Amino acid sequence: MKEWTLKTPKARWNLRITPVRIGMLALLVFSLLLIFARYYAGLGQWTNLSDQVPWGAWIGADMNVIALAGAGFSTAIITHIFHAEKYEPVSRRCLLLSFIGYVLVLLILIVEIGRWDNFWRPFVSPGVHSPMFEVYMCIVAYMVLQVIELVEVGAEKVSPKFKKKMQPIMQIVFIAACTVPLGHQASLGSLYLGMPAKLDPIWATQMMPWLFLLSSFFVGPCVAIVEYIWTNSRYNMKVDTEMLYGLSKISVVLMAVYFVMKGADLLMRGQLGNVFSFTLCGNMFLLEILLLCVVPIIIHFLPFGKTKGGLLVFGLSGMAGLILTRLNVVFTGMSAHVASMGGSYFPSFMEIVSTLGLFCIAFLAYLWITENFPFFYGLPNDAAVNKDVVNESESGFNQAVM
Amino acid sequence: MANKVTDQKSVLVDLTKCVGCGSCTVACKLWNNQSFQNPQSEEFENAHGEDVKLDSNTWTTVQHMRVQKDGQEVWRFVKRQCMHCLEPACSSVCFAHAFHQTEQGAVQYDPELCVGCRYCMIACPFDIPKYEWEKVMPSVMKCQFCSSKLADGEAPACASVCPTNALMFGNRDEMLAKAHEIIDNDSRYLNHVYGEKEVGGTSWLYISDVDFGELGFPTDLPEKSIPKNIHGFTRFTLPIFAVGALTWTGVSLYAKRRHAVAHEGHAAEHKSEE
Repeated sequence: MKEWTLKTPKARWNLRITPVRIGMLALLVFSLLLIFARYYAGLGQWTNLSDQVPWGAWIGADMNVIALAGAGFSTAIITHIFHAEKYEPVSRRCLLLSFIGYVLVLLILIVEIGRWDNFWRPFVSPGVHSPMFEVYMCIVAYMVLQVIELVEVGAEKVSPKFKKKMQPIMQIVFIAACTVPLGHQASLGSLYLGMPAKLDPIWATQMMPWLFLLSSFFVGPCVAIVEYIWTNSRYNMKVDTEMLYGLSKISVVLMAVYFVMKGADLLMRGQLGNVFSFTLCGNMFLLEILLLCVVPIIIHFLPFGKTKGGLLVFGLSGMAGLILTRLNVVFTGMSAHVASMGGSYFPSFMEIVSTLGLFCIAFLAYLWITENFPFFYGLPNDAAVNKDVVNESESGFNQAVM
Repeated sequence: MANKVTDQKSVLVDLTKCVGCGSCTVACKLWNNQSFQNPQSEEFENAHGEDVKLDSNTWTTVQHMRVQKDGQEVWRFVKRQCMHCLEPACSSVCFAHAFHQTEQGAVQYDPELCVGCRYCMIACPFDIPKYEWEKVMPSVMKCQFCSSKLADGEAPACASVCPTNALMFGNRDEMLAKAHEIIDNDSRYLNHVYGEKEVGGTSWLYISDVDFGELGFPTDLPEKSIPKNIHGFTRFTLPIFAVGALTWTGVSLYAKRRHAVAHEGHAAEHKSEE
């Protein structure tokens, strides 16, 4: 079995500040001011949400962040359930990425909901028949499990003794953490089973929960690949394209399954004509399926697909496709109904800036946490990397440009 | 979906009889103590006329509509309010259980419990719930079917003041029978009781001589209720968790064992080489 080299920063704690990070902090402060204004004056004053469009950019962002945060769960299944240990270098980062994603979701939601002071009500007055209830409960449960997993990682640096004590429960935690997201990823799709007559028939299908679950799963490796290439390039660490290519293979199989499932679904409901009708919905759907499945599959089978650039395009295409599937359901597919009520929607300045500002929290948290805790694995049996670990502060993090 | 409705009440709206006087809208405002101000612009607004909309301050409107009938333009007056579904979407999608049905079938909203996610607004097949966007601590607003009046055996405020008997109040079974009786005895009516089957049936029923689609009613609604549509998936929730946890445990144990065996084999091979 291959031994892993762990990269732990030499300096005990470090809070790196760069011009880009100052910019992010500034945007964050500005957005917090706007969010304060929203709490002071109400949603109507600061957003373009209306009785015709009660769900806007914030919900669109949340649907996407949850789906992309599925990376934590799919890479965990690959490494902790199927014990494909060669993917360990990505799964630990995705755990953190995913946890920060969920924190971001909750931050956006607490700005989005009208009665934020009532956030605890579903716990004491549960609406058990609501898909929203399942989403809420699963996310809370999942975040608790993620905290346990993260404590284990933190203990690696702070108290290895405690990490050892945690070992007996970890396999149970891993299995639970790989089960719970099945609930909320699928339930996000079932949210829209509540609007069968409003959502465009291209998307409105009983298959929606399963399609949401499957797509969030196979885009996980896409997120992992993009994150891995981006971070390793930033910190001058080697990019193991062979390992990433193996990861992309898992995605490709499931992308093909998704493509066939969605095609069969459209065929059985007689909606293929709508897809090729050159309407807004038809075209947006074609773009979505192109980016989500077709482009990545083609890239995978080209020689280009084995290169760093090819893998990056593969990952970005899958992510863009996933984002489009969710936005198409939230906006494109509902647009005809909204128009029929005389409504229209484009996010307000405040909605856009507050969302960007909260994303800055996520980016900054990710950068600072990974620079202080052991999230980056070096490459196995690689002398150059092992040397890097010794001279960590010179070769790695201090050269980070972001 | 837990339905404890024992005495399902109903209002049958005969759209051919409505003259658009707007008495019902006034009665609604008075009984529910609501102003005639638009919540956003704060300008005085009638709840009956050509350009009227439901909002957080206005739970019912009478829309004056010019529609085509037999090749000529005619006026029709359409009362709108919550339909009080027999299986309400708003109630089943609310994750804080802020909606419930009374014994008379009135769909009630409890602002105390509301988290403000607005799922009810987007899930309502009739787009009825409205939001207090202008408020710092907003609530969802919609017709409550004058539930306290209904509990006392009285008609809702709107139906009790209708001067033309266009709003007929009674038990749903009786109102449904009456609707069919009216349709059967008068060829001018369309053979369709709106609300009898739409999304599993509603407390409010409409009969008309003009196509419902032209009068602004959603006509593409399924007969299956929204809660049933959602339940088509949510019933798999617990099985998914059970199957998921068992599968992962099984796969995990198998994969671990396989790794161990491969390792042992490797070690043995190594030994024999020595």
